[in-house]
Amino acid sequence: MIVLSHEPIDPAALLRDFLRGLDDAGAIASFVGLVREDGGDAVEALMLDHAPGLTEASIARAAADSRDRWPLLKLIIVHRVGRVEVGEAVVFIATAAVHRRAAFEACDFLMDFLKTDAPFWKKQISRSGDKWIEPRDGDYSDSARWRKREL
Amino acid sequence: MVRVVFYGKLADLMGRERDATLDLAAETVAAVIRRLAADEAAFAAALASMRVRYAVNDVMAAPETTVKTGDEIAVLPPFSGG
Repeated sequence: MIVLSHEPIDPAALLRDFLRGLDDAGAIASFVGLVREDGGDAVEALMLDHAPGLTEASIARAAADSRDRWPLLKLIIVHRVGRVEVGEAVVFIATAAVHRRAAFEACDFLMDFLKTDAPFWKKQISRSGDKWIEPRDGDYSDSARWRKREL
Repeated sequence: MVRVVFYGKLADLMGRERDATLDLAAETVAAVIRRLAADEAAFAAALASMRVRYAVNDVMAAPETTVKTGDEIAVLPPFSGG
């Protein structure tokens, strides 16, 4: 399931729902990304821009890709769009598999994808002014790990 | 006429969308964008400073892709999600 939410999301409730009816699963991995204060910069919120249609299709392809790579029983990706306040969850991912390695790796893969390859744009709103956030070099090398494995 | 839709930092510069006229019945994405950039120094500078990608009618597309009347070009700065 893929959801773009304009409203705050509740990771605990999402995980509880995800766990229902998973009798065959031996492993669930989940990830919650939060909007954080950025050092001395008094961050108030992030503004998440996205390209309706393109963004959903792009995430759906990555989800299908993860199912091709790992034997997943179920997955959910919830990503906020619009204004997300400090302390709120900006993204929630959960993956279910028979064994833990598939669940961990698929969750990691999907998160790396969202950071650099999904059509989202983040603007940091802080008291000292607004600025658009570009992925860190580390985000690109994290995503590249999954491509190297294909060689 | 094609619709050009801007996202992220480029939407701050150009607004969310603009209509652009075509000089020919079919033109490349690159030609349409080049003409917009010729009129907007800030947009031209932004394009030069980042790796921009494009989509045509919601499908990722190379700058050499041709567009015709009624098509929609999305101008996508580097992605940054999660």
